[in-house]
Amino acid sequence: MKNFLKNNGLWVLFAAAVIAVALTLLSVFSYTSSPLANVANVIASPFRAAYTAVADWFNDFQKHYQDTTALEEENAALRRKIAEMEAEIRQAREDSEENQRLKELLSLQDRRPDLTGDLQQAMVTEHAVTNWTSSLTINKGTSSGLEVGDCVIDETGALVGIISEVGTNWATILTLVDTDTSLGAQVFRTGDLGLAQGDFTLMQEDRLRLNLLPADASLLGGDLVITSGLGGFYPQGLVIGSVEKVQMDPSGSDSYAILTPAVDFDQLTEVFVIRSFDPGA
Amino acid sequence: MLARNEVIFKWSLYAAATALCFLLQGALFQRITIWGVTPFVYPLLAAVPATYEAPAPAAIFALCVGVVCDALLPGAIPCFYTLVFPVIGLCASLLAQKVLPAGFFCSLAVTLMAFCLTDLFRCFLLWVTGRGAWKAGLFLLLRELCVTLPLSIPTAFLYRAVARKVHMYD
Repeated sequence: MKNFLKNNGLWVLFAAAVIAVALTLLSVFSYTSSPLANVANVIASPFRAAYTAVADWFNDFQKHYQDTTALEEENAALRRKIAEMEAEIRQAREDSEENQRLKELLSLQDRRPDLTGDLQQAMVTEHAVTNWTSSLTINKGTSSGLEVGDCVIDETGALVGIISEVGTNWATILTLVDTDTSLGAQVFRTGDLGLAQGDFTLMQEDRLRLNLLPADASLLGGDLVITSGLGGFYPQGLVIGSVEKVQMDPSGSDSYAILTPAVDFDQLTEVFVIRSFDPGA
Repeated sequence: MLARNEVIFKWSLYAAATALCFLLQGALFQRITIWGVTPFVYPLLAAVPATYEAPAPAAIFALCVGVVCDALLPGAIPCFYTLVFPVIGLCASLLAQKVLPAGFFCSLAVTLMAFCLTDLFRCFLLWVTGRGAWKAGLFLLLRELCVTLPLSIPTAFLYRAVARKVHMYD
C-alpha cells in the first residue's frame, strides 16, 4: 500500500480532483441532489428512521406519563371541588328550610303576639323511644326556663304536645296522639267544645279522639279543631288538627270525632315551647 | 364461691355489655322502623344475661336494668320497668336452670317470655286506667316481638362471651 501510494500517489490525487470537480458540476447543473449525496443519504435513511422511531417512543412515553399525572391531579381537584359544592348545596338546602321555618314563625308573631312573647326554641333530639308512647325529646330544659305542662308548638302555631318531664338540658314532650294527652278543644267553625284525648288504637295511626261533644254537634270532615283555652292551662286558639270522620261510641249514646293532627311528628326537627302566656288574651 | 374482685369484675363486664346494647338501641335501632315499629331490645337485656346466672343475682341485675330504663324511657307508671324486669330476670334464670339450658334457643324462649310479660303488663295498665285496648296492644306485642326476636341471637352471642369469660374457672 505504501509503495502503491508512493509510485502512483499523484495519479490518485489527480483522479480524486477530477471526480470531485465532476460531482460538483453535476450537482450544480442537476435538478436533484448529487449522486454521492444521494447514495450517502440512501444508506443513512434506515438508520435515521430507526433512531427517530426510538426517540419518538421515548417522547410518547414521557408525554403519556405527564398527561396521566396531570389528568389525575385535575381529577382529584375536580372531585374536591364537587365535594365542596355538594356541601354548599346541602347547607343551602338546610338554610332554605330554616328560612322557611323562620318566615312561618314571623307570620305567627304577627298573628299571635300574645304567644310569641315568651317562646323558647328547641331542637328535637329524639323521636319515639318506645312503641307504646308517642313522645319527643328536645335539647332544652329547666336551664332555659321550661316547666312540666308547658305547651309546645311548631313554627306555624300548630300544637305539638305538652312537656311531661324536664331536666336541666332536656325535656320530654308527650305529643297530641299519646294516650296520656288530654286537653280542652273547640271546633273552630261551630264553636262546639269537646275534649281532645289520645287513644292507644288511634295512636298507632297518628290520630286522636275528640270526645264529649255536645249531642247536637254537627261536625264535618275537614273542620278545624283548636284548643279552647278553658281553665287557663293552655293558650286558646292553637291548632290541634282537623276532623277526619265522626263516629258513634260503641254504646250508641255519644258521638266522637277522629282528628288528624296538623303536625307531622316524624318530620319535626325544631319546636317552640310557650313558657308563659296571657290566659285572658 | 368467687372472690369479691371476681364478682365485681363479672358484673362490670355484664354492665359493659348492657351499656353497649343501650348505645346500639339509642344510636341505631331507634332509627329503624319495620312493620310500623322500632326494635326494642331492653326486655332482652333483662332476660338473656339472666340465663347464664343464678336466679337471685339475675333478678338483681334485671332490677338494675329496670331502674336505668325507668330513668331514661317514658313509661305508663314511674316504676314500670323496675317492677317487670326483675320478674323477667327471675323467670329467665329459672327457665335456663330447669327447662332449657342457656344458649340460642333458650334466648329465643326468654325473649318471647320477656315481651309477653312487658307488653301484657302495659296492656293491663291501660285497661286499669280506663283506656283498655287489648286488640291493638296484642297486635303491637306481635309486631314488636317479630321485629326484635332476631336481635336475641347477637345479644345471646354477646352475653355468652361474657359468661364464658367470667365463668372460665368454674
